[in-house]
Amino acid sequence: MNSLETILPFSLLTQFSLVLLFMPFFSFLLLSFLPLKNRNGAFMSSFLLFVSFVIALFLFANSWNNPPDHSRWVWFEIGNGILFTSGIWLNNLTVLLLLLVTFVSFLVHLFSMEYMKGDKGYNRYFSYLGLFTFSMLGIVLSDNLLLMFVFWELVGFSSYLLIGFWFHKEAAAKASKKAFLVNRIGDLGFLIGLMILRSKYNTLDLETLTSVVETSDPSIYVAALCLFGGVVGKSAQFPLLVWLPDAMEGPTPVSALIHAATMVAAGVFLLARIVPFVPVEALHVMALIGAITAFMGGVAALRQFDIKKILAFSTISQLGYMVIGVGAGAYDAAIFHLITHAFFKACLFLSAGAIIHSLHQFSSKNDVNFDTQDIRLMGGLRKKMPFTFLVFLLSSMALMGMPLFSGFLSKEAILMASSTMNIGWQLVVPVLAFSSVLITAFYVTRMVVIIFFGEFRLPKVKVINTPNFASVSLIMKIPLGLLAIGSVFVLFSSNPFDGSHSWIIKGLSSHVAIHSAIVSYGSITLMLVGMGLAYAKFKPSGVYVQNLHKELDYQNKWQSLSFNNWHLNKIYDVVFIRQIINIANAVKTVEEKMIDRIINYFAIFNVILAKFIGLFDQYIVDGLVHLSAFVTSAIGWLSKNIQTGKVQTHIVWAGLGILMMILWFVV
Amino acid sequence: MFYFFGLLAVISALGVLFTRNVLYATFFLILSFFSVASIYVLGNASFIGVTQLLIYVGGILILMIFGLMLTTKLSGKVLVTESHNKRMGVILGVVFFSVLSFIIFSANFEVLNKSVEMPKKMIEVIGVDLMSKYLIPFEIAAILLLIALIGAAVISEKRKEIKE
Amino acid sequence: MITVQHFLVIGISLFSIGLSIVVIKKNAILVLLGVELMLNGANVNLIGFSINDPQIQGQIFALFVIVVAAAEAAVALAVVVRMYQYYATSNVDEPNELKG
Repeated sequence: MNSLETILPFSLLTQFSLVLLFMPFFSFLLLSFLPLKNRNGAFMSSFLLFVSFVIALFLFANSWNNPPDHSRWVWFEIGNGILFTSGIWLNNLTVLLLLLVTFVSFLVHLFSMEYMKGDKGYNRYFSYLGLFTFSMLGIVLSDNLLLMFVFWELVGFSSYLLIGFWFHKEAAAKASKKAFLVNRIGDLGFLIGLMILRSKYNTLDLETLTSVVETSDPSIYVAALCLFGGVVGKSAQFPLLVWLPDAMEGPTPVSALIHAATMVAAGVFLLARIVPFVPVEALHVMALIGAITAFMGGVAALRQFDIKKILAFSTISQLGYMVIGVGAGAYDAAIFHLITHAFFKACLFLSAGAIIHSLHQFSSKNDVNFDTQDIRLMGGLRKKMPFTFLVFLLSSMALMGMPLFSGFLSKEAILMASSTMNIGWQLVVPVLAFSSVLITAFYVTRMVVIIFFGEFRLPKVKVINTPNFASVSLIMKIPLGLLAIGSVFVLFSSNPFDGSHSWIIKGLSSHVAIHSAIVSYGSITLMLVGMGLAYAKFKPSGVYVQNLHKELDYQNKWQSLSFNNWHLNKIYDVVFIRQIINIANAVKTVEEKMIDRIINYFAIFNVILAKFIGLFDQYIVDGLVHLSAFVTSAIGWLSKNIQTGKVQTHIVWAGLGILMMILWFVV
Repeated sequence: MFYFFGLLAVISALGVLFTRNVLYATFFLILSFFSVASIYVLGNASFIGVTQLLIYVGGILILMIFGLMLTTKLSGKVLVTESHNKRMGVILGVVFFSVLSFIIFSANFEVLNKSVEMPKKMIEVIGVDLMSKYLIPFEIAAILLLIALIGAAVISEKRKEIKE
Repeated sequence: MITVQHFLVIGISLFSIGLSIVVIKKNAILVLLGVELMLNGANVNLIGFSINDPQIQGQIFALFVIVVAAAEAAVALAVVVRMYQYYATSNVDEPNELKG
């Protein structure tokens, strides 16, 4: 591949994309370096994001269902002829994601303006949001894996910054570190995958790779699994899912934007990009991992009492669904689920944020201290926050996969695809996927009922003087409303029971999606069963709910299993972290006993040497210096005597000088 | 005659050097200048000799005596001056004399000693030359004298702000 | 026959004696006398060089030397008088402000 073929011309759309890409970066720079007062910075960055969103709309209108627009240029060159290109590739997938990212990011900016009011790091927060949005758009736009990797790391970094936004809280600092390190493990896989592809095919350009890779090659199998390692890290799949629940230490709008709607979906996006050249065997592995993740996340969500933790585990479970979708050969369904999930999960998170915000104000007004995220202390919020209840209910329905809502359409498409994997061990995938439907319905119903129905349980624990709530402000209601509308089916498909006719699926793949009524009815039945079971257990008049405010974290080992996320943290602690610490201690011992001693001897030797050098310095070097000083002063003393200040002595010397000259010139 | 006046000039100069009485020294100097004027006359430069008598003996030395009177407290005592740097002074003089006479006696003056026809009326030649050939130096010398006159007057003027 | 050398010997004698006077004597007036003696020595040289010169350049030069010597004597005397007023002495070794 020579450089002439490599370069593709700049098109108008590319220029627009670059503007779109750099708007958030601009906002990041401005907010980082300008001393902006109060909310000016937030208004400005929201405005820049809005501009981005408008450009994304324009690009969408121009590119959707049109031939892809690809610009490419030489990025850098190593040695002789080893070219690395970079570029922008606009196809249906890209513009769809662009629209999603800019839209959700804009809404989160709006929401944060109110949510973060009064925080000390107000501008810092918005600058980080700008950096994150920039990096995320970079992932979406880039046309090759290396550039994507760069933005991938940037996304991880900005996520680290935002999780640790309240770095003075120890838990937040630890969580950000954990997220960063766990992601690093996955990214190592990504990097190895890049190296394999580059050495094998001499290019990292996605379009070229799609055309040159043969899926029968065993090395591509390894490379695909390595790339999938990156996905496992970023999208919190089975072995590496421990960081996402901890990441909830960040501000809630951040959880909505990064840890629900966009960044964790970047993994699925990467899979969708590389899926054309991934062999089927690797896809099956992915589907298995996804199914395990979906099941484990769902189970872990069953017994959480922290509203954000429930949503976090639910996010893990849904991401598992998306990976199943890709693995089962229906990446279009996965992307469809990504979009719908982004809407309803962002909406859920922001509603949770609204609840937390209100409870926080409530706590400071009444001067009582309690955990504002604990659902055991909530209840009956339906009457106190009717608007939030409405949007929360709508998006919960979508999450459960209730017919008439967007989640139903996309989840159906994935289940449909998974039901084709029914040979041998692959049967595990649909079984786990379908049981996750039941679990999802169960925990979502539990959450909604406990939070919004029944009576407000906080007064049972604490003394409350003024039991009236501040209403949610308009600037928070707008994003909630817009996202809730996105949970309704009509935006995506005209037929509320058949996701395969959705315009997104049609836009992403050419093959006709299968549709089977049995799958639909089966999943609806499972969901209803889950809902019924949950309501039976958690109904407001029930014994359980009456004593909920006294409920412990867990009572038996099954509850403990769910509450502690399958004890994964503990397992990793024992299996990996302890071992690493032991190795580190051993290394430390070696260091102390051997290397330090050598260094000590070396130091002693140096001291002795220095003593000798000091003597040399004192007697020889200083002696020379003193000698020259003495000579100078002696000359000075001599010549001082000449200067007696008497005129006649001067005449004597002048006369002698003339004599000298006479002798010099004449004799 | 030449040798006599030459010896007289040198001896009276030595008298200036060795006497301690200031007035005697001045008179020895007058004698020395007289002798030098005679040497000028013998060296075919009668105009310069006359000028020497007029300016040095008649002007400068009288001026010197006035200066002496102005700068010493006249109390009837003999004016005596002390000496210092004797060794250095004598050595310097002797060394100068010996070096210069060594140069003189080792140099070849035959061209200068060739006898030539000299103009009869020396004063006329000097006058004509001064007014034609050396007019500008002559004028500058006049201006120099004027400046010296004024300068001397200004320097020796009593100023009140200088206090002892 | 009187030659140039005769004049020159008398000139350098006067010059050397004048120099010695300048160095040895303490009284400023006597130092001035020494300077005059040195100038006379130089003049004797000039006259000696012009004994066989029909253009008598040496004599003219001697004339100018005398003029300048007169001017110098006037100024120097003024300086001595001034010095006497300032330091109350006419000895040249007492003002030693140039001492290093």
